[in-house]
Amino acid sequence: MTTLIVIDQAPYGSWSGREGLDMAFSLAAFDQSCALLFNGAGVNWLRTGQQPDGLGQKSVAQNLGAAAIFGVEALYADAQACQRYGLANDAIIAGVTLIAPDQTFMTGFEKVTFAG
Amino acid sequence: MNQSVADLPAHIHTLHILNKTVEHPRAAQCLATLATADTVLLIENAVLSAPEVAAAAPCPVFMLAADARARGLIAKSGAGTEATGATPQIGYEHMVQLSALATRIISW
Amino acid sequence: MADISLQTYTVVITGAPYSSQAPQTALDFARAAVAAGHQIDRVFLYGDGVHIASALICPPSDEPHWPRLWSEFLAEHQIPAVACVASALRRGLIDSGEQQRYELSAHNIRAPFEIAGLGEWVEAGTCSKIIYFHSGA
Repeated sequence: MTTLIVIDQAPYGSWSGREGLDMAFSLAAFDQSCALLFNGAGVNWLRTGQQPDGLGQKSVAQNLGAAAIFGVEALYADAQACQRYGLANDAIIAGVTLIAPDQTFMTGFEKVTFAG
Repeated sequence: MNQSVADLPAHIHTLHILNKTVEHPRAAQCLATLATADTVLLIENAVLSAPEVAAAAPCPVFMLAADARARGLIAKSGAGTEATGATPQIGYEHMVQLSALATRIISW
Repeated sequence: MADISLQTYTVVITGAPYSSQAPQTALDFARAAVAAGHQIDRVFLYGDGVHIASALICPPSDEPHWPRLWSEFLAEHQIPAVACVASALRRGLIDSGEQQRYELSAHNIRAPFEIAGLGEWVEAGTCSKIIYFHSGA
């Protein structure tokens, strides 16, 4: 019965990822099972060492740090996309599971939802 | 031009509603997750990619007639007849039927 | 012949009017769903979709007025419609309550739209089939 929220937009250049995160946090707040998938350019959310103070924004990686506390069950990332964006294992924040977002993976979720 | 209900699949696991052309990264994500028990409905700009999606999909593919007509894509099939190499064009009432038949709907 | 059972849908729109086709596709879907006897328990506007609830949109007279067409459809079928409060406030969509709370000069939500939290969307997910209409960009 898990809802998978997919974030496939890179952070800071667009707000839709933040609105995806809001959806995941809301589901978790109402005790609904949910997980996040970072796909395509969305994997850039997961890079360690983000310092967006020069943009007047807060670090999305920091927001994500609260995901487990809020009750988001898992953070998944497309392994191929991580490779494309030069995200080696030691450059990815803690608690992320690398997967291939194929048919087998997607079948495991009752709902698959984008924020926009 | 529109299909009768009899031409729609009897069961659909996931209805994939795609509204982007194949250049969009999300179209590739969609194609990567298709299964034989699924159905793809192309709407809005995605109708322009109907031949490519139909060639890649392991499942039935439909497109919204209003979107196809608006973009100058003329249906090659008459009412209820089998389309020859063309993606069947359906109305909003059939989009509703596909949605009702589907266990899961993913809007890409 | 496929056997179609009657459904309860929640329509979620995330694409903005006049920058995406989402409000039109969603309205044609909703009209067809109601015509076929299905129920739409609510419409939820999220992200850029909240602009559909603006009372101040004035398109050129030869273009469709999506906010008006949507409110007429909602009123005719008595379908509740809410714009997500976080999405709405960020984008300047304000009801009278939020106007007072934030001491703003005006409010601009078009009836019958209301402002509510994501909890409305979470609840919809537990009792109806959600269908999303996103921007194509």
